[in-house]
Amino acid sequence: MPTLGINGQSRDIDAPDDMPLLWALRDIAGLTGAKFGCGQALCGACTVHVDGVPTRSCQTFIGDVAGSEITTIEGVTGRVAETVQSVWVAMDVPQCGYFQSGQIMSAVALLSETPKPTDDDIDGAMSGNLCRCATYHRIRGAIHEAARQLEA
Amino acid sequence: MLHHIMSRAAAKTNVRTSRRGFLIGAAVVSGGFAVGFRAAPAFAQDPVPGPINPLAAYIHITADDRVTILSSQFDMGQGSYHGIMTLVLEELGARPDQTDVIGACGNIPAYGNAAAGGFAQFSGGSTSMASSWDRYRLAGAAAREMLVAAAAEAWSVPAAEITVANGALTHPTAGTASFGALAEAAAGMAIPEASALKTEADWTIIGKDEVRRADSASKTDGTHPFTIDVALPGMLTATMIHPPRFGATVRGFDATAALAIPGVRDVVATPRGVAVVAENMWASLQGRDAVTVDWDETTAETRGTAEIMALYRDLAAKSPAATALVEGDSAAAMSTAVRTVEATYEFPYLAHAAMEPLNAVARMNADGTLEIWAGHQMPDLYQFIASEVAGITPDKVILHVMKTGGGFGRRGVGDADVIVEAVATARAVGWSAPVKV
Repeated sequence: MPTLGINGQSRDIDAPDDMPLLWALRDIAGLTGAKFGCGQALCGACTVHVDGVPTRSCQTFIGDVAGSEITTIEGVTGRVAETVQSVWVAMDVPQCGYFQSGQIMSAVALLSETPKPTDDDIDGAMSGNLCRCATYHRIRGAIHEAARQLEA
Repeated sequence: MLHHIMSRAAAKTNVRTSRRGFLIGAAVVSGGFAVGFRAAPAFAQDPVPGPINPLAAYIHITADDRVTILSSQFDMGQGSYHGIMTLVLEELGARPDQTDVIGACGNIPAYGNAAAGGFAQFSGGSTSMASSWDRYRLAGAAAREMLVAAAAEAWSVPAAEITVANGALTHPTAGTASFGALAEAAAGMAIPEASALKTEADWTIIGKDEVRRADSASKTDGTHPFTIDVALPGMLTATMIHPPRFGATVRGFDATAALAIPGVRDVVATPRGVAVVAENMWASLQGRDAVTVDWDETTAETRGTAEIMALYRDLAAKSPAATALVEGDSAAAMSTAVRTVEATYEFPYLAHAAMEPLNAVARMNADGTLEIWAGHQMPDLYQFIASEVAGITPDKVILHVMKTGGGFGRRGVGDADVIVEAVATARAVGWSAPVKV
């Protein structure tokens, strides 16, 4: 029974060590913001932060992240996250919205590391997050706008 | 460019024709899903004779001053709820911040797709706004007139002296009242036979940016509820083992190894394959890998892609082909063309690849009603098929129309595939628990 730090709280997860973090979050901890898409770390829907690093939770065993600090869309806070989320709403980025949790977690990590990303930086950081509604142009625009607001 | 537009028009015609053909066929086969059996979804009005009451079928206003629009059109991300909200708000005069939109079903006269004849409720072929354009503006206008009539009666003033704006009715001397305060009385007013609609010059919402999508915030903070997020007390999660060929059936299976996995509760056969029922998704996925299934392919489709494509080529070469559009004399024009370009387009069997996996949740209740949460793109058909699978009458099937993570047409299928899987699995475990597939 691994103990995980989830959104600032220490939680004992009653599950085998080889359970993917995604299912521990969704089915055990009841945090459904991270989504299931492909189950093979190819689509980015399940992206969470593990010690601040965007990570595909569907291919991360909970036994391997015991003692790490995990942040999900439900718990992401701070100036960067709040700016990204407010810009996301102001620019109506989501359509179906199913993958936006993952997009936002990747965008927050990018802007935390690279406050003024170029288009190439954005493409590099976001290429693992699919959007079947093809909102990519708004995602890129929203990241630039968030960077502009964060710089101000 | 013109050719492109015409191709699109032709393609659209084909889509509508084929879907209509299918639905009429299904109605004949099923003996009447399209003729209005009594339905009881959570948010719908039973079809009743006479005019449709907009304050029952389309717009619910409650005493707490909330306005809920009942959308006939399914929202898979394309924003049909938002589009319909703008149509209603333009005429109704409610505030966006007091307004929600939910999916509705179970009333074909009210929700039948008006752009396709109104014979059945469905979202597809890019018809949602075409179907809704008159219907929801008229509903908003009629509801506003009924609110005004209720206020006029309560205040004993002429209706013409009452103005409506920002979710309130106002009279120069009688005062002001919220929509919520007048909702109950308004619902009992005479239903207007014909309401005058605003002209384009007076629109303040349709086609403008002021009213924004209501779901952007919940789709940005992880709280937007998708079917995959539905959690019910005691709910079990199932994954399906589908046959390797369409149409194959389960002859038998060995679930010994799967049942030894902690969390796996049951392994059951369904008409669409074997379901591994577990306490959580991970146990179910592990169990799925541990089951061996003996498939009976007697009735299965055995042709491969190349053979099917050859069949299509053969059919396409045969005359006469179906004509999608006739405009002008193309044969004469082609005979004098300076240059002709010929092309053959072949499309492979495509995955729609909606990002939220196909899913559904089924729960049999103690009172004999069956609730199903899913992206119900063709709700009346699904209600009927679900009732057949459950062995109950359609009026006992309650559909919760969920907004979904994409659709791209894949949630509108004639065999209601994932709905059948959820209901059949729940039934196979003796209705002992709600089941999410």
